[in-house]
Amino acid sequence: MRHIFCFILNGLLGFITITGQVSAQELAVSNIPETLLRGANSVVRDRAVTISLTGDGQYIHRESIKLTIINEKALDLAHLKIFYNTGEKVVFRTAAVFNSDGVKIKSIKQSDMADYSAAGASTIYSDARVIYYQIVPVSYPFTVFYDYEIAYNNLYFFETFSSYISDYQSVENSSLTIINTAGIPLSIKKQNIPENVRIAESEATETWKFSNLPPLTDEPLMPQLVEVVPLIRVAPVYIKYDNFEGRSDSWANYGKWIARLSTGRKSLGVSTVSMLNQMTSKASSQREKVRIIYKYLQSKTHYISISLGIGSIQPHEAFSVDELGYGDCKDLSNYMVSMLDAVGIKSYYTIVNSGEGQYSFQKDQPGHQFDHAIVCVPLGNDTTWLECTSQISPFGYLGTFTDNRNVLVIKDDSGELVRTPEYTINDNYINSRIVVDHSADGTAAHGTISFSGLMMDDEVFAANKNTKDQIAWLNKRLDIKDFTLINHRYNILEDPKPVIRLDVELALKSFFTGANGRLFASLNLNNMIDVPARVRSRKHQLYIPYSYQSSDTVTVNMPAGYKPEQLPVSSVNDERFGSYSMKTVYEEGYIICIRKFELFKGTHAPEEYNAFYEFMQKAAIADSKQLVLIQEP
Amino acid sequence: MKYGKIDPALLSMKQYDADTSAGALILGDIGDISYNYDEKTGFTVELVRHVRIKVFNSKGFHTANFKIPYYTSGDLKEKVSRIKATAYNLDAGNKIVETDIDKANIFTEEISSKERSQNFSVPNVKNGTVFEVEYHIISDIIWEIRTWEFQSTVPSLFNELRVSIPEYFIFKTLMKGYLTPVVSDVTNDTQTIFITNDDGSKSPILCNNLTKKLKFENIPALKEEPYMNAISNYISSIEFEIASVNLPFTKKDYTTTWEKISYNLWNDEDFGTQLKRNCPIKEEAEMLKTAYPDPKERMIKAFELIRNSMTFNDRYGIYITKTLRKAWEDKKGKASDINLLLVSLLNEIGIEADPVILSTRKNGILHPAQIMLTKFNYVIAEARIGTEKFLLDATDKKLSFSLLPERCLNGKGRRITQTPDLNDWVPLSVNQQNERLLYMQTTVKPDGNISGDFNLMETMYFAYDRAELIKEENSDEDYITEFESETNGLQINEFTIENIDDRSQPLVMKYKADYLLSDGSIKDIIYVNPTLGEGITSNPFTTEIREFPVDFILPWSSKIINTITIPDGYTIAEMPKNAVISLPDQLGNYRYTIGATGNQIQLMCVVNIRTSQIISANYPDIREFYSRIVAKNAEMVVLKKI
Repeated sequence: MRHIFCFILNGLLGFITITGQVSAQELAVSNIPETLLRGANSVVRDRAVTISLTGDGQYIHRESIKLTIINEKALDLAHLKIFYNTGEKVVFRTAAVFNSDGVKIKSIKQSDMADYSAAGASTIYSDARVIYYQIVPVSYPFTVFYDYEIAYNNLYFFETFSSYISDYQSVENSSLTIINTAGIPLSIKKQNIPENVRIAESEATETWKFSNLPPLTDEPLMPQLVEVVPLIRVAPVYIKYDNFEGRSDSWANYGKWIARLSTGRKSLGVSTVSMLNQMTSKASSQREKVRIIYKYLQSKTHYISISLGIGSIQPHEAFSVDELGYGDCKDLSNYMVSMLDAVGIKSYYTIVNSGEGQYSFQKDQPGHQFDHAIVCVPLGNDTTWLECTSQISPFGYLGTFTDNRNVLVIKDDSGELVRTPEYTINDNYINSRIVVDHSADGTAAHGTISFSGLMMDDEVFAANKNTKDQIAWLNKRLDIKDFTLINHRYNILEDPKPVIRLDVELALKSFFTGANGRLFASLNLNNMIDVPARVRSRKHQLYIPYSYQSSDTVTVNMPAGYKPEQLPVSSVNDERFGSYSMKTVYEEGYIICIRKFELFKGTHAPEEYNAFYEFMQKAAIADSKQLVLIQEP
Repeated sequence: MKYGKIDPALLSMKQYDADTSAGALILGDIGDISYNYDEKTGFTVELVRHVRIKVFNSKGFHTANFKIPYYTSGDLKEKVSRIKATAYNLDAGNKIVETDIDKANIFTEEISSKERSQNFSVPNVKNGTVFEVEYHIISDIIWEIRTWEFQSTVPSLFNELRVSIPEYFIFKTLMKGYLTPVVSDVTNDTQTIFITNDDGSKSPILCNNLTKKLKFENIPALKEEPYMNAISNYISSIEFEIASVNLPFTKKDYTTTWEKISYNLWNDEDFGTQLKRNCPIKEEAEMLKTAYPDPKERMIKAFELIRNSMTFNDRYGIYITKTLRKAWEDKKGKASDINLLLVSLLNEIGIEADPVILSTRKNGILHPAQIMLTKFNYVIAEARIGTEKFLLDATDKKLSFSLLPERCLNGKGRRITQTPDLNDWVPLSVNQQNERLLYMQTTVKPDGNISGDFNLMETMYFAYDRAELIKEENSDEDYITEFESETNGLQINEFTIENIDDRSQPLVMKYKADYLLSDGSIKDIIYVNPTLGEGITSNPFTTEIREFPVDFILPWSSKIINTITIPDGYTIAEMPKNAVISLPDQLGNYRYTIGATGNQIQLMCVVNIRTSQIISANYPDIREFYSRIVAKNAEMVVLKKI
């Protein structure tokens, strides 16, 4: 169901090549050019993916791949893993292993392969299966050769063809061929296509061929690989799944097709409808009604996936979700829309490409590009978005899973592409106020830390764990060298925007260190700056996905008989990346330290990475400055 | 606990007072295991489980999801039947509403060709629900009884198991975990079974059943802690292993004594028989014999031959895949294939050797009093030269002959031998400790930045673990980048890494580096931490109480030596004092020694842990030990401009 760049040898990729003998010489590692070998863990020697459209709404995907595994880091790519669904037929032509001289050392029989259920932990039933064979290499390098095809019964999307199938891989030859004798209309999009691609076109056959692509490196804070590699996306213009036929020549038409899948699936029992109306009768506003029903959904349903056949794209009936109390994203979103309907609030079932899937989304290629569903509730000028699979998500919170991206809002007989809200620097913050006290019993700290916007992602989970797990999380989370958590409390605030406020009380050991009448203390208790890796020769752009800020105030009550020797003060600025400042003031009896840090989202040229590293390094140095107190004579 | 009879008070229950953060509470979990006899098909073993759970909030919703795996291959099958699931909720009028599961919502998943699973989620589970589930598993595999767990990730009011076994089946049982049952008793009863005589007639036989009942109450939820061995070692459970089957018509003895196990294994086609055959490695064996007259050298070369030739397929188990000859031809196999091949080769070249079977760390700790072969899941080799003994595992190319993979360091293994005197336990780690030495020669600059030469030496698993990290990276340079980012301000300019692959040598990292600690301005007072923030800088033991032992796997030591040159024009205004911190019972100590001569400061800072495990009773000591080290390691030298 996912339509994203997949960094495993994916079973949904397929081709036609010469069957028959592979000459020993052909696959010898010595034939790989040095430029492709250096820095590569694997080399695609020859890969051919072929999509053959049969004209009856079905198609065959053939994958033929000869892949050389240079070292054990790429071993995972060597195993045969073919993902398919019950009802789709997989046919093998070849599965074999060759040594570094290109001599065949093993033929893998189909009877040696295992066929497993590919259902995940919260899936009760799924058609997803995997054919698997584990390669145990005797030595490196070696080459695997797989050639198989999968026959699909439904024509509604094709897996994206990627020239690379993994990072640290180079490509000798790789191609995509589309055989379309029936002349079925297709939409074809190319991305990052290098100049050496030859396009051979005939009436019914088109081939794209990639040759001699250098090793693909992976670096910290870079754009998604899916954005930088050459890709070809093919999508059918006429779509068909079982008896559901439609067009995906526009988002409106594709939306119409999706809308039809849930036609007649929104009714609820009379008693449920009256219960919902009663529940919301005293609500002061429409928004309050939505909140009440959302809370009700969270308290009575949980995520479970059951997908048989068309169930992978069609929601179950709302009344059955109402009875069972469980379902997947489609079921629960459709159920939520139905419940809002019951109290007279119009909302829309909305499909989305979740998580990092947004980076592969093509706005101008309507069709199946989604893997998740949420609900859109327009309330006057203010639109509320609801994630229906989470029992813990604050009302109206999307997070990095579904924020700031194009989603398809399904109207009654149409679809509309809309962007979900972006969390800006004003939303994304961590603020803290902490007071440190000393007594004969030792040093103690108390205060609050507030998390907002995308900074909440982790804390939402923590806030909803049990006490023991929260303690374990906070013990890891707080940047304090030695402490005991005395008390803590997570507060989830929802208005006007969701914020998580954590109240903490700590006993600090070695807050002050030192002897001989001089005391040292670090004034950063929860928010150390992480310096990114120092990349020696940067190849990719620097990409910072979102802005955020932090602001921390620490008040330290002075221990009796001491005065400050060093008060940490510093500031670091770079208008491209952000700013850091620390100010410490001493007033009779106490010290107040205010730290502020801002980081800006952006995309920068590879050469600017060093400047970014230096900015972060300087900020971290400034941040680690210590308070020094000295005993008064 | 009767199915369908729910105390209404449970539905209005808001929390579990003993653990108010629990999302669900198991109100009761009852297992009943018994043997049924059918005149036609003989014995089957049946498990009936009845569990009732209170759900407080969404944290407990997952308890309503059930996946019951069962075995379906060949003639001997398991069958899951009579699944019942009911949720109880209060309606608006405070009346109890029951929701039963519909058969259509129970799914059969084909996990593999041998295994299936019955999957379902109890319907209508929401905040406040009480639900219950009952099912039967009937199995033809009468010599196997499923492990029963008394503890879960949510707390339980009670958990009870009743096992009733006919006298013909003798099982060994193994109780695990830290909990004590409130009921533990054994009773006898009888049942009549019929056996078919040769002439087709039937004779009744009175069969005695031994019934064991175990009950636990108020069971806390299980949680994980840092430095803890596999959680499966601590979960309270009971395991069963067949010892003998003694039916009136057939008789089969499984295991009873170590002598018998050893004898059986030696005669097993998938174990000892392989060693009695000719060694498949002929030519190389002859070569080793001529080339290396010294037996220890010969042993090491034989070990290296197997290690370098054979690829481990990551599979465990004590029995071999097919034959040793086949394994040698394929150049790959399970740990048992590889290490039995090693035993065979060692014997061939005149070195006394036997297999040693063991249980890996994840598989659980062995209880020496329990003679249960199924507890073992791994085989290594033991070679003996004179009085010296060597434990060898040739599965990992990154380990030398002197080092077993960490997974093997789990108490004791059992030697499987034909020599009666040697039939004994073998300790798996002796006189071994992990060591780390960081030698630094550093210079402080007037701006407070530090530069210097560094030499990091690590042995044993410290070295192995680092080598693993290095190999995970795409190049040594990438590793250095990673290494740098672990320490604030560290910038490495030049480096070499030695002995990444040779674990008979320490792994050595030499580098020239700067510690960027200042904004670059010249300081009147410079504060220098002489440890440079290396060593223990935070306390991993944050909780006050701990239930499980702290498991370091092996004793260890870490030593930091720093020779610091102070900048010209500065004088030492202040230095930390020497200190010694000790753990009780000689379990370990810490020593901080510092001194100055001229413009140089000498620091030596050593941690020594002399035990592989620290029991819970000593937990406050290790916590305090770390605390005091953290404080001491943070102390500063103060330099002042003259």
